[in-house]
Amino acid sequence: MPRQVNKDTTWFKLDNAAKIYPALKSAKNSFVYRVACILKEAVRPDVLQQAVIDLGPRFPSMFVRIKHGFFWYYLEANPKTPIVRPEPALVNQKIDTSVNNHFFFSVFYYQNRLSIEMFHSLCDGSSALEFLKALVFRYFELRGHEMKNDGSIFTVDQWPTPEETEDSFGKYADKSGSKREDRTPAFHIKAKKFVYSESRGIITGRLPADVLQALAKKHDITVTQYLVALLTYSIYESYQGQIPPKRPIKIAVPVNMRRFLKSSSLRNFTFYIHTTIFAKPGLTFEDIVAKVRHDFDEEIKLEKLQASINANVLAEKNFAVRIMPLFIKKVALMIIGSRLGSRLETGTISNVGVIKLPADLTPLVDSFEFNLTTAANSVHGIGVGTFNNVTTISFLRSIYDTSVERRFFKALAASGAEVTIDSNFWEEKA
Amino acid sequence: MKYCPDCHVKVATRTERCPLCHRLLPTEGEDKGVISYPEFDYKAGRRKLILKLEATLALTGIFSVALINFLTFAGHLWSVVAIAAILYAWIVVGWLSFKRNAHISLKLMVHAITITGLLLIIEAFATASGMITNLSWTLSFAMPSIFIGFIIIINILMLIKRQQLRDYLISQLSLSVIAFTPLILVFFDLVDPIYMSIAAAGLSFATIIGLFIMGRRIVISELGRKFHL
Repeated sequence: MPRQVNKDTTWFKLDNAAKIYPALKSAKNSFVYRVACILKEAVRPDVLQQAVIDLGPRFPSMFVRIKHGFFWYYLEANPKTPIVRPEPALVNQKIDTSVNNHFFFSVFYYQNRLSIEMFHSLCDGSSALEFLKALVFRYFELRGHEMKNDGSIFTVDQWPTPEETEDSFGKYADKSGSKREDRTPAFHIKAKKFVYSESRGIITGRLPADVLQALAKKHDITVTQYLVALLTYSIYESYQGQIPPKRPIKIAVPVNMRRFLKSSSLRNFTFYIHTTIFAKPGLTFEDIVAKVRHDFDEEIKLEKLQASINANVLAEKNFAVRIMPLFIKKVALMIIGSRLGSRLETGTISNVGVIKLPADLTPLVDSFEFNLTTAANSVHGIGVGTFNNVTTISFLRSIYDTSVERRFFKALAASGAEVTIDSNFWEEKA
Repeated sequence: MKYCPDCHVKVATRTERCPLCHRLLPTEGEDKGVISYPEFDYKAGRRKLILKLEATLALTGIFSVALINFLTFAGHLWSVVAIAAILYAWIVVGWLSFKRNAHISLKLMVHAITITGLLLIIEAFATASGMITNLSWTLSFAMPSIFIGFIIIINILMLIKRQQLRDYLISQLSLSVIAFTPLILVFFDLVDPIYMSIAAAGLSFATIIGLFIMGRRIVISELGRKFHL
């Protein structure tokens, strides 16, 4: 039986990473991403609706609405019910809370696909994936399947723990020193954008995970590093005539901090690192591989990540910042957002890694997809996930030009991977 | 499944062109591919179009009345009243009233304040000289009456929707505090007679005290949330 929580008393402060998003959200910068699961049967909306309702008490930090305080936004338990809806053609558009009882996530269905679009203030991709897995698990329970949890799924008969709703940034910030990130502006692709600012084109490639792993191993790097290098090389090859010498190709890569600091938080606990490659003439893929490896080694050090967390939390805890009324903070955040944010990146790539499901659930699921959003300056968002030895690489773009995707997947195919492409052909729609 | 000989990839989508290079794909076999994404519904953008149309009409109206007033100026800035009315109709009635994310109590509070402001402008500029000469009617009667009316409406809504009391609290408390304004103006000799101002202040006081006594736990917790540092 699903458990109940007292919706009248539940509220949360926004976590450190989440604070900036409500002030900056717009049609171009929606800060919404999608995690989707493709089932081996058509999704039944009535069952999905019940599954979502049942999960409310298990994920109290997600079943919330965002409210304005005098000094900060905050999350408040939403007494209403999220409404599952048919998937819209526009992916990752700014969440219209008025059509979904003021929830900041949306649950959609289309044919066999069940997807959740999540506003980043609620949680990061890894937590959203846990929510999706729990939803799929509950969905099949309600469909009458005998499901046995192997301990990897959040189920409706469990109580949420306080650790799941904690702000881990605040928990782990200390006074060991802080360091600001590199603020060199990145190269931004200048290409014709889609007419509607909410429009995003999707091109998804599927390929065998073991082949991809072998390709990465050949270069002595991880799969994520290999994909970052290939993306950088594809951007370099596609736009090398446009890239100013002082504007590096910078790829933002979210790092799941739970890998380094013990946390059960189902909110944001991800930190972005950047790989920085200056596009000098004659740049080779091997040069890029070497630089990406170096940047990962340099950036993903606990002390460095800790210093960056400290810097962010220190800014939030500053007394002058805290007592500043929210409407002034919003203006300040908009200025900071325009100077930093997507200005510092050419594109973003996020790899959620290998997704595992309990044995009873695995045969019922075909694949997973992860759609990262684009931003005003950063016209490509790439989400990667692996399930059942198939890696799904999903490009989201806000421009007509598909040359980066073409070079990227063509290079993978040329390396021996059998790549299958799918597209929403947005370039022909709007 | 179709295959692009140029990109060397299989194409799952039901299409005649490669999604990557956009070249025509060779037609082979029975498999036409799948439609993996929903069709784009152009109607979805209709609401935005209405908002843009409203903005165009309002700005055209403002420009027109200002221009007519300027070209036929006879010492009276009557266009200020017209512009204020257009702005009220556009922003408060046309935009805020239909803004689906704003709570009704917030909308009512904003209406109460902006209607009062509009009446003040009308009274100020309705005189032949165009100068602010007398605001007595608005300050003595209209302003307190409007505040009383809107406070009563929100109180009734709170009684009907007791489960959602929290959603009304801040707007109602704010409006009740603002409703003391006519009483404050009494001390500056701007209000005569004073009985409506006293009535507005009395109702506001009763509302604030009533909320604290009857919903103390909710009021304190809501204020804690709203003002957390």
